[in-house]
Amino acid sequence: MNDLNTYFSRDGQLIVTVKTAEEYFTGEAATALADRLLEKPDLVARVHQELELDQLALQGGGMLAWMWLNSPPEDFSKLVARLGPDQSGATIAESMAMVQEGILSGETVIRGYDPLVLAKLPGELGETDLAETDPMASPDGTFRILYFEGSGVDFSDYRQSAKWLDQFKTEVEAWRLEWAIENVPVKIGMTGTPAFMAEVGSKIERDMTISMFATMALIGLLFWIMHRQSKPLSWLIAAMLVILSVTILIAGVVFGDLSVMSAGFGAILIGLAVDYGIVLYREAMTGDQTAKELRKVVGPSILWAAGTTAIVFLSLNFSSLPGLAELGNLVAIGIFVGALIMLWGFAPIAVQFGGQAKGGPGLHRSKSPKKAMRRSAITAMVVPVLAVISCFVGELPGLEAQFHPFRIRESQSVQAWAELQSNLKGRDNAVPITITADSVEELRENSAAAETRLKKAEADGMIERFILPTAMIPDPKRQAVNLKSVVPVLSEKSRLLAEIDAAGFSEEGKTLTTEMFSSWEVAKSAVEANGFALPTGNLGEWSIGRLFTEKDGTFAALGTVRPVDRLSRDWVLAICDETTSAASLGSLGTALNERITMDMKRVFLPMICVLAVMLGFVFREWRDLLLSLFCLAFAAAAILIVTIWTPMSWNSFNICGLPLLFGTGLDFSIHMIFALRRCSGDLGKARLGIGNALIFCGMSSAIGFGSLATSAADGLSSLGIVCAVGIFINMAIAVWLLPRWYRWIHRLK
Amino acid sequence: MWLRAVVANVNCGLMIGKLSFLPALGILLAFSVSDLQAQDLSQEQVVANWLKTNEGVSRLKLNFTQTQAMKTVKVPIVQRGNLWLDLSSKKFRWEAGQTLVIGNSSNITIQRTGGKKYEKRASGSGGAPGLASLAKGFPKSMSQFKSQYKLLKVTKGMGDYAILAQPTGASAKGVKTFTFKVDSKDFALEGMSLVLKDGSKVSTSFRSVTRNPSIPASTFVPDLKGYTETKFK
Repeated sequence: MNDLNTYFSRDGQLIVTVKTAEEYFTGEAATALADRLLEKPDLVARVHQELELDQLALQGGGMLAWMWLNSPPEDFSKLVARLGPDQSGATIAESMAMVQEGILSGETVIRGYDPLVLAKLPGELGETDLAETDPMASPDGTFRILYFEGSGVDFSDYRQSAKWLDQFKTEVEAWRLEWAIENVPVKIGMTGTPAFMAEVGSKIERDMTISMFATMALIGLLFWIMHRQSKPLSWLIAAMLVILSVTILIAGVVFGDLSVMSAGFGAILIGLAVDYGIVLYREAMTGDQTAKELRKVVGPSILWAAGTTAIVFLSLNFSSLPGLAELGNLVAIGIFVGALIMLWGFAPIAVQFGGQAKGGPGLHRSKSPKKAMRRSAITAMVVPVLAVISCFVGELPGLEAQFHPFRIRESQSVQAWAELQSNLKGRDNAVPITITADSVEELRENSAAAETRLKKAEADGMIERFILPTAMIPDPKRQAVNLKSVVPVLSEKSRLLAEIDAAGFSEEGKTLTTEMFSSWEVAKSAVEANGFALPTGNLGEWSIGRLFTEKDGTFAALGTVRPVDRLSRDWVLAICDETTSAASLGSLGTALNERITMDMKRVFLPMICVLAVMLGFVFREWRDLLLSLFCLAFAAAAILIVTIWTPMSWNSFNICGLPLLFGTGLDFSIHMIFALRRCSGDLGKARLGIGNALIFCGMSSAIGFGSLATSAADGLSSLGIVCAVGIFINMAIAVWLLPRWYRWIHRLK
Repeated sequence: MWLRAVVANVNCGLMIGKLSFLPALGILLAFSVSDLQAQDLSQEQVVANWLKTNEGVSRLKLNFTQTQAMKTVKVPIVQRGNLWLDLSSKKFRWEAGQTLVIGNSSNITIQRTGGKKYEKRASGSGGAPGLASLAKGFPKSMSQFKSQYKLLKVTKGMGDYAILAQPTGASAKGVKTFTFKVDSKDFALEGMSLVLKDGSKVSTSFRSVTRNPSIPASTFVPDLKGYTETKFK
């Protein structure tokens, strides 16, 4: 995927689809739209569309000449011989006879443009029935595509892309309305990189903005309801910003550039660090104490919680996904920074305002401790049993195989892409493959090696067909030899054109020949300068650019393969090596899911062992250790039940929320167990301080993540749902169940 | 193989080998002796009136003049020719200049009188489908017309109607439009023109039309005496 993006992605290339009820009108509309937009050079640099014969003769000569130049020398020498004075006249006369005889066939019309029969390529190229599939139009002709190269903005910036796209859409819509009045209704779709970028970037930005403001507002409201104060909230937000800034500063020095994946650390960090602030604040509300005394009381639980949560995130370094490892390191650093800043920066503020806070009683209403205790005990047994039964009765949860995190719901560009795929023959299930090398010669060798593997995969029934661009990779050796043959013919250009003219062909009839000779002349200079030549002319440059490119000293070629089973990894492993890669979202999803499943074992199992040791050190009391681990297991069971019996599902994106859930679960249990220890198991006291703090932390985090559920991007939406549900479960366990279990396990009456 | 999927436009004209425009000539068989008046008729009514004129025709002999204004040739090519058609046996004979084509719905024989050479082609090969379709005759109803053409526009001229249509299916390749000119009084087909996608234009006007003539069976049998078989390039 990375190779495809690096070498063949075109940030500024917009694909426009044109659809009418009739082939005729579709063709007319496409041409009219292209002409209209070409009048806007500040918006459109150039257009590539299906060409008619006359335009093709004008623009295709460069491509054709280059293909001949790249062909085997034995074939090229036959062409050269055909252009000699003893043969050329007869070929031209025969072409004119065909045109004049009156049988109108495609062959006849083409001969009009190609009196020297230059367009008949040798070997496999010449035998190909190129009319079989048209990459620019549907078989019935009612659907066409046009490629627009945008201009005037930096298309790597999604905001600029969105602005450009808006202008483009305005122009197209104005044209569409005008055209429909004179002709028939026309449907226009837009897709390709600029459309995707503009849509995904804008929607995610909008979602995040809405989510951020909504979360802030709801957290503010929650804080007000629970504490009736606004100033401490401001200080808390300020502390958050300081923590974020310091962490980014440290990360910048330690890691350098951050990946997109890591950008999500901010949200996780805020969600965790705010907990420490709230814990401090709620504890400060319980009595008159200095900042030092507050640190002495709550400091251990915060530091231990920070330590254990940091370990959870640091264990992501065992993951084979580099982005996830980076994210883990960032959050781990941030948690320590957050704990320190909260304890030494926010604690004095908490002491100052906490004493003034009125504070509500919280959400604790148990009037019958015995009944509540019984219910907690029953719950402790029922939920794990239900989870086990659910696993047998329901379907075991797995990762969605076909999940696209940045897929936007009701996306116009995705709809247009889907229409394009379904209308153009041969586009369905085609997967791009990229071949790379350090030189053109090596690229041809790698392509040949890939062909061997592809043929074997085809024979083994893993792929249906493949197309390799070997013939479109410049062959310096062939070109050098063929140029030697063509040089003497170049001087014959005038004679040949005179013969064509004398036979009765018009200027249009001479265009292709003229273009081809001009291209060979240019190729001669290119080979002398660079060792190889590339096609000339708009069509040639556009076509070759889609198949062969060079960037930063690496040469790349693009082919396609149609696998039998897109989701399988077998065909990918069979055809790919260090120089050949397949950009298959289907198999990438499978690979990613396999990798993540493997990571779950490789990362989480050792992590739990390390945590058990760590928690043992933290609590130094086997019952508390057991209780803390049981809380984690209980939360996992509850989440499992939700996953099995509700539409909530896991995928390669929201699985990243798992460490967060693990971390908050640990945090909450440590805070509550330490509070219970301080209060000698007094539920009322523990709940008034830490309990309310955890309710606030849990609710605020759940609100924050829950607000992402409405996101247009599937990835964000699923992450929001999973985290909101998981954090709420963790909070509920820590506040309402854990204290009673604590009393039970410690035999407190 | 590789080219079709990746080089978008190199393929679309230079090397297409299966264009066929001759189905259009099937339409030139349509003629009429109708007395229908045509004043302010709808587009479909004009076409329907023209199609009615095709009813009751089982054999035809047409004498035509065809002008090919090809973009690639300096001077338009004008040739006169004849077309015989037997709809019941689905046979045709087309001759113009030095070319003679005899065939039916399954195969055709192309003879070039100049070089005394001929080629036999199966229907479905290059150039053949159009010729073979001659044997199928012409549309007699709107449903038949719509199965072969898409009606784009009908415009009224001085004493005639121009029916602009687009062929569908394989016969549409390479052809932009067909225009059928019918008399505004009796809706008889006067001539037709087709515009190729490159802008070349082929116009056909009918000098004489004979309905249900007596056609000897030998008309549809190629006389290959003295001819050598070849494969025209």
